[in-house]
Amino acid sequence: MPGRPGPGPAASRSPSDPTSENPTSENAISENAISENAISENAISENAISENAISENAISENAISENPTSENPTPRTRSPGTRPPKRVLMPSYSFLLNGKPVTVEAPSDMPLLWVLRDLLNVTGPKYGCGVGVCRACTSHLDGEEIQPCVVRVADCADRQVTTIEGLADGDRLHPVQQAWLDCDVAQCGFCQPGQIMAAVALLKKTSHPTDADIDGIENVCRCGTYSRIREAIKKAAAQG
Amino acid sequence: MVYSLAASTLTVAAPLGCDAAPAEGAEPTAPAPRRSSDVLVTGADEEMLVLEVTEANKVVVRLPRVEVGQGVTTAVAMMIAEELDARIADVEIPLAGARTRGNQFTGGSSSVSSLYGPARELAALARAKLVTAAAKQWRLPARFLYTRNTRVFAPDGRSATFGSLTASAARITRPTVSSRPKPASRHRVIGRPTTRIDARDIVTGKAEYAGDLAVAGAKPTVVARPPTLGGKLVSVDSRAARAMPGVHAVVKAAGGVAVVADSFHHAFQARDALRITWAPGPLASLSDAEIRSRLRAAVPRLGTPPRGSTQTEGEFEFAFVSHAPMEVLTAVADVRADRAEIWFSSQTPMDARDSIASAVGLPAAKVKVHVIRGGGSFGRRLNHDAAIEAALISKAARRPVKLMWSRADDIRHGRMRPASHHRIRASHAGGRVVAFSHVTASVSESYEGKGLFSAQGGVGDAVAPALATAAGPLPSDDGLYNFGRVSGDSGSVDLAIPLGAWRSVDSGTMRTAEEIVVDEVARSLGKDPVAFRRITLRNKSVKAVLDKVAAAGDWGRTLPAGQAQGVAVHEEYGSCVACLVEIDAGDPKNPRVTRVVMAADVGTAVNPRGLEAQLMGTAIDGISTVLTAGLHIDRGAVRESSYADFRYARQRHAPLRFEAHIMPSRREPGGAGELGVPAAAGAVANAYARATGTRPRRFPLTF
Repeated sequence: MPGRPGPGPAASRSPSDPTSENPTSENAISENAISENAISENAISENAISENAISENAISENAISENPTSENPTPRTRSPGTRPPKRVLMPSYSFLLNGKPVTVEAPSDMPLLWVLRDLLNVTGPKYGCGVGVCRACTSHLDGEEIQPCVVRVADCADRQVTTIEGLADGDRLHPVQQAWLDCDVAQCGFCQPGQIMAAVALLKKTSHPTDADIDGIENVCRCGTYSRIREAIKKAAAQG
Repeated sequence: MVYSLAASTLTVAAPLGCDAAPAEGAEPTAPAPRRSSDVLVTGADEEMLVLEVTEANKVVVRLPRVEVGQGVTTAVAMMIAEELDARIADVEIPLAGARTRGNQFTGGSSSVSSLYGPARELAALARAKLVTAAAKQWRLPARFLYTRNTRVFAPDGRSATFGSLTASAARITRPTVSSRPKPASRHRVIGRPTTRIDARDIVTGKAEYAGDLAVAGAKPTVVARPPTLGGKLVSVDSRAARAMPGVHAVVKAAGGVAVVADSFHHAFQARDALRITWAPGPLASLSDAEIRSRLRAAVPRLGTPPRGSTQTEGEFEFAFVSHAPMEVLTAVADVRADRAEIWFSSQTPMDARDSIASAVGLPAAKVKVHVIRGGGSFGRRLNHDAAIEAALISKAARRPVKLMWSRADDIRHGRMRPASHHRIRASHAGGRVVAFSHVTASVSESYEGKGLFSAQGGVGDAVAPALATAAGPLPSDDGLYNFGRVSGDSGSVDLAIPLGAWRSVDSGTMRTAEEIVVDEVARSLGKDPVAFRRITLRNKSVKAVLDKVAAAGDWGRTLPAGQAQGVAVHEEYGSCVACLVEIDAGDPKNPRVTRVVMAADVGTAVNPRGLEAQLMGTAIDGISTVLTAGLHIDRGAVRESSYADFRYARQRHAPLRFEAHIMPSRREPGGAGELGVPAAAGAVANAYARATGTRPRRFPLTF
């Protein structure tokens, strides 16, 4: 596909392993000590407590609830005394997010998508598959297109992450966003942040993309806005 | 009738049309156009479309419909802006939460037609009151004043914003200028191609879907589900999962075992650490081949053809198809001992509230349902499976939760368009069709399959029976063509498979198959498909859209070997459409639709730009469902699990050229959202047949 990155390893993996929603965890470098034993502050203080404790393998009417056995006592307060013995600190990662430095504490194999959405409340990148095939989360890492659902946070350390939120210059839209408005591309809108980020990445590589170049965009739009996406990319290219 | 409500700012309300939309969606034959007089008039404001002019000069209409991409908020904003002479940027259309009575159903392509009267009446009355208030203030005859850009103007150039007049206008009981909507000849907004009012929010990433909401304390939640449809939980060992970092709760959910965690990453990881024993679902021994043969056996007999006639016959099979909206099912739920609050995208929020209330054991009045914009629907959000599930998990975990189905959950556990089998026979004699018969069978959702979610997550009583029936009267019964004696019958195969109405419902399969047969009859009679349709179509409007695509699409132009054109037409929702497709099937296993030309007559097209978008979407639906996108059932489980194997069209499958032609009309609006699917699907199949010299019979073709 000229001028386009092919489907990444995640895209080729998913058909053979369609059940995985956490593809990065499969390939994650083993950091068991960190990811399995680290307990975040929130987890300790906000553990749900339910009364209907049940025996190990049976499911009773209601909640499975906290483990009734004391093999793994569940800490319920922040008191250091109740923490599991093997607790170690969560690693922290710093990167530039839409031009601003951020630091997050997260397991190394946590996909950037969930770091953005669940830890940093940056919700422009959307979850659509978790395996890098729908590309609704498409964003940029050092200016290159990525699918944050299959990129580990550890791989973003000290780099520049740009999401749809970082594309406009204040109130002035990026030319591709403006072309999207001019062509009224969006329908439900859910895939469009990813579509726009993919288009921006394409135009960076190929200032005047051919139809074949545009055909190389893998992002799914279930509403079927493809014709307007094509028109908007050409419009942005013509103005570019 | 329009009411005025007591308020300190100007607030007017109109009863909302409660037409037979669900039936229209389910009975594609209904030939009668929607009646604007078919409205439910009640006395309480919660049942009505309410318009408010704020002191900040905003016009706010809380809409009892959901926006899922179809552009209903923009269309309503245009109706309001038209009658009020307000700037469209000053009109806000938030989505109303679930009400207790009235018509809050989004479906059956009914939103624009049901809102067209009430919205305009509402705004026209508001305008009359604002003008009357300004006239009083300025001591001028009201008839000298005019309105523009959310302001009232006097002949001497003075002006006042609606916002500055709203308090005094609220006290006007008898406006001194007409409060009737403008005649269509004076429309300046309705009918003008308009960009979506939410477009800027979308392109900047600000548009919020359920999963983007920051509801206090609502933690990411996922559910471990069985490998087979309807599989049952036998046992679970959740110790490892609960010991994982960031995990707040592990609770039993009706569909499996739910994990509540700090992030979706933690939730997925803990879900995968659950050690679960599942019992296979009720269909564990059932696969596609058997489903197909059961469907074939359930098709009623074709009657006896007229004596002396020649037969053109075809049997058609359609696979299950996932709705697969881009935004997976997501619901935020906060269930307390005495009340509950749920946020999600729903086409049927009133039914959802009742179902959620009964599931968690609260009176409906204690359940608040917030309707959130949806990332696509295509019928999927008629059901509220995820909202009920989220509510039950919140109750069990005793905390607010943000439940998200994974994409694999969405595709593997339904819902889907039912698989179906069709047998169609056209009998011709003397160069014309003298009898046309279509018998069919489709899968219907059996009672045993209706666990908690199907029984309670389904659509309301008004819709359920129609959807549950395999097929109502056949689309061909509406007399689209002069085909002599038209007959049909339908059977069904009950299976425990979660089904749902899919954009254009039965028409998507039935009319597609019929349009293929129409082409084959034309071929048997040695006639051109367009010419044959022109002489056999009954309705002038349908002939007109067909002529439009034939002319605009240069029907009959010479194409290289392996390429061909195809056409099809469809009539439903008080509207009609034609589609012309050009396909390159040089590689028959990897065909590409290169061009699509559509023409539609939907009566008044409130927003031609939005209508074009809907037609564009249905073209992609036609391309996908005919060529590539379907679901396999392997021993009771759905084989597909993401867009990698559920092969919905991507950019490289979309036409390089698309155009839509909208027929001018002064009729009241018909429906449009689902209209194009059967025509697009039929045209793709007919183009493929002509390009390859084959007879398409089983869909999707490259499956």
